[in-house]
Amino acid sequence: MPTTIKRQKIIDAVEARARTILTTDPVGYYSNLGTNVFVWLSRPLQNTGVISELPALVLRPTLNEPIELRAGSPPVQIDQLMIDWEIIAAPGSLTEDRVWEMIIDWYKAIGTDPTWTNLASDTNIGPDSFDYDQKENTLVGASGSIVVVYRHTQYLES
Amino acid sequence: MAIDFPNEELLADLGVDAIYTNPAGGRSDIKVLFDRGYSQSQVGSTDVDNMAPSASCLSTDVASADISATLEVDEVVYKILSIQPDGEGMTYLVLSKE
Repeated sequence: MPTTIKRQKIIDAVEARARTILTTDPVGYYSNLGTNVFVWLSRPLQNTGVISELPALVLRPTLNEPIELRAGSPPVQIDQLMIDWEIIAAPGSLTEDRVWEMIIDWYKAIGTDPTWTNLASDTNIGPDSFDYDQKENTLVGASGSIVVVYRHTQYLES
Repeated sequence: MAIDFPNEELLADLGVDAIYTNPAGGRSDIKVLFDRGYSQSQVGSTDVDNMAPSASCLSTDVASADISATLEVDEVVYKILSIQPDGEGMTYLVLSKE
């Protein structure tokens, strides 16, 4: 049964949008980041040569914060839902350039409709940062957060 | 009682063939104990299962090694990320394809 919880609808919409990040998409993306999209990944990503799940986009909704209450009957509450994201890639000799492209793709995907088909008022993008590790391959991670602003009836989110 | 097992015999029995290329470009055939072992990395908040290859060899075979040297095993050329002599005649090399 489809969810009636608004924040879950938003997460589902964000995940679905992320999966459209493919070079074949008419929007025009650099990468195929949408091939491996995970929400609340609780296991390690695989990059052992037998299975490769990289590049990957991992989404973690971490905080939902009420920011405004508007009087009315019934009152309307405005919340912001923070979704942390991480892009993990083993980009080979192209290193950072490929990861930059994936970040740009991710932001471009958000920008195609920051209301997530009218589920939200807007989506704001926070700063992003890089992390590295080197084993058999060089691993590059980029991370950041987006904040989705949405409204619902007070005490009644669905 | 510690078992006294000469490094040369250990490599002769269990080692695999490798080609060591020193920083000056000179190549030599050596024996190494090669391990393409599993490792887990953490990049940001995400864990990644991957491989962390390494090799052990006679220190005298890689006396000139630095991080511009390479080691070829099974037709794969690895860069040397770290050189760790054990002080007892063997050197442990941390390897990477990139």
